[in-house]
Amino acid sequence: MIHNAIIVTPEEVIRGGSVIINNGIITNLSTSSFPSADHSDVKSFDARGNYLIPGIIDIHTDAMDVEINPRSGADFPVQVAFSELERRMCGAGITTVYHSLHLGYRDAEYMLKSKYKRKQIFEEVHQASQQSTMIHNKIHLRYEISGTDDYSLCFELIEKGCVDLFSFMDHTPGQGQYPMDKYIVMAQKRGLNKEQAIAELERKIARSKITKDQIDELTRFLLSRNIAIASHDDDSIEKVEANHAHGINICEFPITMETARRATELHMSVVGGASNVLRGGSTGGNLNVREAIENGCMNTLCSDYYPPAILYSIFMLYQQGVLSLPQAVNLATINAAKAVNIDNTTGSIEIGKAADILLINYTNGLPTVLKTIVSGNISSGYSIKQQQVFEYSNQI
Amino acid sequence: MNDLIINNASIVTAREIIKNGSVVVENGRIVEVSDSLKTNHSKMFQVIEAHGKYLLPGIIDLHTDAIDLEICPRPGADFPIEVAFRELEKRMCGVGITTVFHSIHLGSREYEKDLRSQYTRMNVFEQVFTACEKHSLINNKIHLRYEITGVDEYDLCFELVNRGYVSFFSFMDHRPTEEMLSGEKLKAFALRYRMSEDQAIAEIKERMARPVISEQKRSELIGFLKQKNLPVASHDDRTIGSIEEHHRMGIDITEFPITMEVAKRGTELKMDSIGGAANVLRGGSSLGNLSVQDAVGQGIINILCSDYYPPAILHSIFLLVKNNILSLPESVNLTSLHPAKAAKIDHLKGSIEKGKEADLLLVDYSNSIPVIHKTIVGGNISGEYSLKQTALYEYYN
Repeated sequence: MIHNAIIVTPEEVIRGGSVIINNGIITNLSTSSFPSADHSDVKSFDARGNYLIPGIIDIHTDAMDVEINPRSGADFPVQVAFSELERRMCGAGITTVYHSLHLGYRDAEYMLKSKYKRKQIFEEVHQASQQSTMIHNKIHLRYEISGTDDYSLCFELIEKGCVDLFSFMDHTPGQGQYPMDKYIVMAQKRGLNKEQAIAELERKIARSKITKDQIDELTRFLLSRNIAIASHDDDSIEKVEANHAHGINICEFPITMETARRATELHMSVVGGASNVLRGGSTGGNLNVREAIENGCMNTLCSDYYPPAILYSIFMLYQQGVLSLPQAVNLATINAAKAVNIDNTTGSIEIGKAADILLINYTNGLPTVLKTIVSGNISSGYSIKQQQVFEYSNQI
Repeated sequence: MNDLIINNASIVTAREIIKNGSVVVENGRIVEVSDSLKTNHSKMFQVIEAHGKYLLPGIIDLHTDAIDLEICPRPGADFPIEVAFRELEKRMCGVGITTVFHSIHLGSREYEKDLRSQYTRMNVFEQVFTACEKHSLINNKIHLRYEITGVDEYDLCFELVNRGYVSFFSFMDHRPTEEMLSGEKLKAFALRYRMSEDQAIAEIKERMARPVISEQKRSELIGFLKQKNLPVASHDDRTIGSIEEHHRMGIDITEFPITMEVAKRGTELKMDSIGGAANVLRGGSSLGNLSVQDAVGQGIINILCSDYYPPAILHSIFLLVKNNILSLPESVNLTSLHPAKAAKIDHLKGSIEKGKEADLLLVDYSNSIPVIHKTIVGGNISGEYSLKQTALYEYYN
C-alpha cells in the first residue's frame, strides 16, 4: 500500500490518496490518505505528499542501437547494453519500452559499422527481454522499405515473437523528413560539395523499394497477429489517408500540422517526440510538437532519441499551462498503451491494472523520480542528498 | 540518518575478500569492517542483509566524456544542462560510479564542430559546476580537458581553476601526424567525415599546421595547477619521447597511452597510467591501439576509466577476474583505490577501510554479469535496484 500521495488518474488528480497493490495488480484506489480498513497486514509506505503517476510507456526510442554501439564500430555485448539501458529507462520513469530496432536501413547500418547482424540483435534483445528484468521490454521493428533483402526476415522475426510493434519507414530523400533542397544543404554541412551531395541524393532516390503488394501482404500478416502498425514521417494528407485505409493506426512524427490534424480526425494515434517538446522545437525544422499538442493534433509522446525527455515534457506541458496534469500524463501512458493495444493491462492508475507506477517529487520545477514500480516490484529507488566536498588545498 | 550496518557480505578490501563480513557506517563514514556478523547494536542502525553479495568500494571515474553527449546527444540537439546533469548522474549511480570527474573539453574546434551546440564552453563549465554543488546522488567533479591548439582559451584555464571549477586537468593534443595522410588512416578519416580523400588530406594538413601554446606557457600552467595541488594528466601519449617530456614537466598521470612501450615507460617513471574500460569490455581498442586487458595484466596500466561508455567499468572489473588476469581485489583497486590516489582523495575514498567515506556498492554476481543492487554514497543509499520476472502481456489474438 502506498498512502498519502497525489494520485494522477486519466481524469483527475486525487490529493492525499492511497493505492493498494496485490500480486503486482492495483486492487484498490482510495481518496483517503490512510484508509482505515484492515490493511494492517500489508507492507506500506508513505508517499509524503509526492506524486504518483502511471509508469511511462515509450513506444519509440532508438536508444538500444546507440547503447550497443555508442561509437561507430565500437560494439558492446548486447546483454550488457540491454541490462544497462533498461536500468537507465527505469530511472527515467519508463516502465514499458518498445526498443526500436531498425531493419533494412542501410544508411543507419553504415553509420553504426557494427559487427552484429541485424537479426542477431533482434534475437538477443528478445531473449534478454524474457529474463528477469527491471521493466517491461518490447521490440518495435522499424522497417525501411528500401531494405528489399530484409523483407522476408520481417515475417521470420514476427513469427518468432520478436516483434511487438511494427513501423514502415521511408527515409528516401525528396519527401518525408528531407525534401530535396534540405537534403542537399544537410549533406553540404557534413562536408560534401554540391555535386557530391546531388550525386548521393540521386543514388538514394534510385534505390528500389518493396512493392505496394508486399506492403499490403506484410500489413495483413501483422494485423492478423494483432500487432500494432505505425507509419513514419508522413508529410501529406494523402499518405495518412492511404495508411489509415490499410489498417495502420499509428502516425509517428508527422512532418506538418495538416497531416497530424488529418490523422487525429481519423482517430489514429499521433506520436511526437518528447525531445522536441523539451528542446522547444524540431532539430530538423519540422513540426513543433508542443504546438501540435496545443492544437489537439497529437495525443502520444515517445522519447525518440533521448529517454529522459518524456518525464520532463509531461511536467513542462503542465507547468506551461498547455495541458492539465492528467492530460499531460495521458500522452505518455494510457494513450501510448491504447496505440499498442496494451491498455487493458497497463497505462493508468486504475483498479485491475498492472501496478506500473512512479513516485515523483515535483517541488523545484523539475520532476525527480523517487521510485519506479513495475508490476508491484520497486525496480529502482533514488535518494538525493548534499554530498561532501573534498578539499585539495588542505593536503599540501 | 546515514547509519548503516551491512551484514553477511563478501567484502572486497584493497587486499582481500572477507566472506560473511560486516561493515558499520556512522555519519557517512566507515567505522568498522569485520569478518563476523554484527548482531547487537545500541543505536538505531538501518541493517542491510547482503545475502552473500559482494560489497565493493564505489567506482571513481577520472575520465568520462558522457556529459557533453548527454547535453547534446545529436549534433545541434541541445538539452537543458541541469536536466542532462541529473539524468547522467542517475545513470552513473546505476552503474556504480560514486565519484565522477565529468570530462569537459576546452579549446578543441573539432569537438565543438561535432557537437554544434548552442552553449558556449563557459556555459557548460558554469552550469555543470553549479549542478555539482547542489544536492546530488553521487560526488560530481569536473575534469578539464584542454586541447593545446586552443590558444585563445589559455587564459580561461586559469580563470576556471581560480573559480574552483576544476578538480582534474589534462593536456590533449589531437593534431594529426604524418601517418594520417595515407593508407587506412586516411580512408577512415575521409569516411568519417564523408569527404573525398583530397578534401581529407587538405583538412588533415590544416589541422597539423595549427599553432599550439608555447612550451613555456604550458610549464606555467602546470606550475599553477601543481601549486593548487590539482592532479594533471597527459593524453594519448604516442612515443617514449612524449611521455618522458611530460614527466619532466611535472605531469604524473598518463591517460590512454597508445602503445605498450609507452605505458611501460610511464610505469617506470612511477606515473599513474589510465586505460579505458570500454577497451577491456570490448576486448581491444576500437582504434587499433594497445589492449588494456594485456596492459593491466602486465601491471603497466593501473587505473580504469569509463572513457565513452559509463557501464564499462563495473563489467570490466568482473571480466578481468573471469579471464584470470587479476584477482577481484586487484581488479577493484583499478577502479577505486588507484584513481583515488591519482586524484589525491585516497585519504577520504577509494577503499572499504575504517575511517573512509562509505561509498559502497552491493553487487550480485550470481548470473555471470554483475548487477548492482545498491549504490551507497557517503552512507546514503542513493540508488536501489531490483529485478524480477515481469509479467508478459497477452495480446488479444
